[in-house]
Amino acid sequence: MIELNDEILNKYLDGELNGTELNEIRERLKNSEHDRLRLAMLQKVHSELGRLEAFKLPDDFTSLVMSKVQKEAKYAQKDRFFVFSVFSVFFIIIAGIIGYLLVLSIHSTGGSTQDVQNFNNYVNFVTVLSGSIKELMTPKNISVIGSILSFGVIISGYLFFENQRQSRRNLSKLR
Amino acid sequence: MKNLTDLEIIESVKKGNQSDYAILIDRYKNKAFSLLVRMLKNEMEAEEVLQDCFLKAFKSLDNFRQESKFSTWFYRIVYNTALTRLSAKKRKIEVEMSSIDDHLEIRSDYDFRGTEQKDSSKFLHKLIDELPLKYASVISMYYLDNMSCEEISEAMETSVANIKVMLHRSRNALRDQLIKNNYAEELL
Repeated sequence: MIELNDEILNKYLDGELNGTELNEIRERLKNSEHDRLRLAMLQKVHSELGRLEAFKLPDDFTSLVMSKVQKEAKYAQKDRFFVFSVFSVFFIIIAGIIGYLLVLSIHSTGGSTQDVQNFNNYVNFVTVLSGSIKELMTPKNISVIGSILSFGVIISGYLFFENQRQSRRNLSKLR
Repeated sequence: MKNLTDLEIIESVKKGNQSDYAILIDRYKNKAFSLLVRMLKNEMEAEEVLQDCFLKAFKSLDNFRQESKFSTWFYRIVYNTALTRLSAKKRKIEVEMSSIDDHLEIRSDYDFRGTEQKDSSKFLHKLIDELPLKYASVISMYYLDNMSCEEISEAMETSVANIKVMLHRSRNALRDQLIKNNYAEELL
């Protein structure tokens, strides 16, 4: 026999009882005014809660949030552009170094075939671009250039985080 | 535009139509605000937290995997942000004390009978405000936001069984208070 406790009454209310249980509960309710009152009150609470109304926000809430969203999107775009710029600069530098090393290696093998000659022509613009730093790109100066690149990475990182901090500061001023 | 589903709006926002996000804000702001008011017990603070929640959700839209409804995902942000806010204000103890293993008891000093005509609805609202935080959250999400116990459990990161226990205990506690304060006759 099912005990007609609060848990069962709640399950009854939520329609979570099976047919047999439902019949038993209905029979019990017929014979107990006290239980009928308990269930009726629970049903009333349930229906009153169903009529709860939402608290209302000021009318300009959406536009206020949207202005912040637009700012946020703008800052995010700025951040992405900054990261892209930094990576582009490093990519160009690395591509230049690789191009230069390729030219060096081709020159050192003598460039005896026509293919090599064509390739030499193809990468000629890289040689022109890197002409000014050619003198520096000796094995002796590799470590110096490496240090400079590392320093560049550190400075870029600092600038990036400074940029993000500034963005956050601007956002917090808005709030 | 207003008839778009949440997922269609999110796709549109991700494609760069940020202004469409306003539709999502309009769709959920008042209900999420109600949940926050119930949790934080302060309308101004709730409004401020809700702004943060919408911004957080906007920034995290790329992380929304569509494994659940947007509403469930958003309410999880709202619920957790409110908990963090409460925690920061050293009110976390209230959350801990409202564990479902504790006995739920509402101690209401509110009495309309001396000054106003009896109004069970107002009295019920007052009682909900006095429910422990987790219970009030469940009531708000279940009745106001029409969320299922499964969705609430996902938003609150707890089991469905716990949600049902909290829902049932809340109803029982509210009913007992109504009976205790002689609202039975008016309601029946």
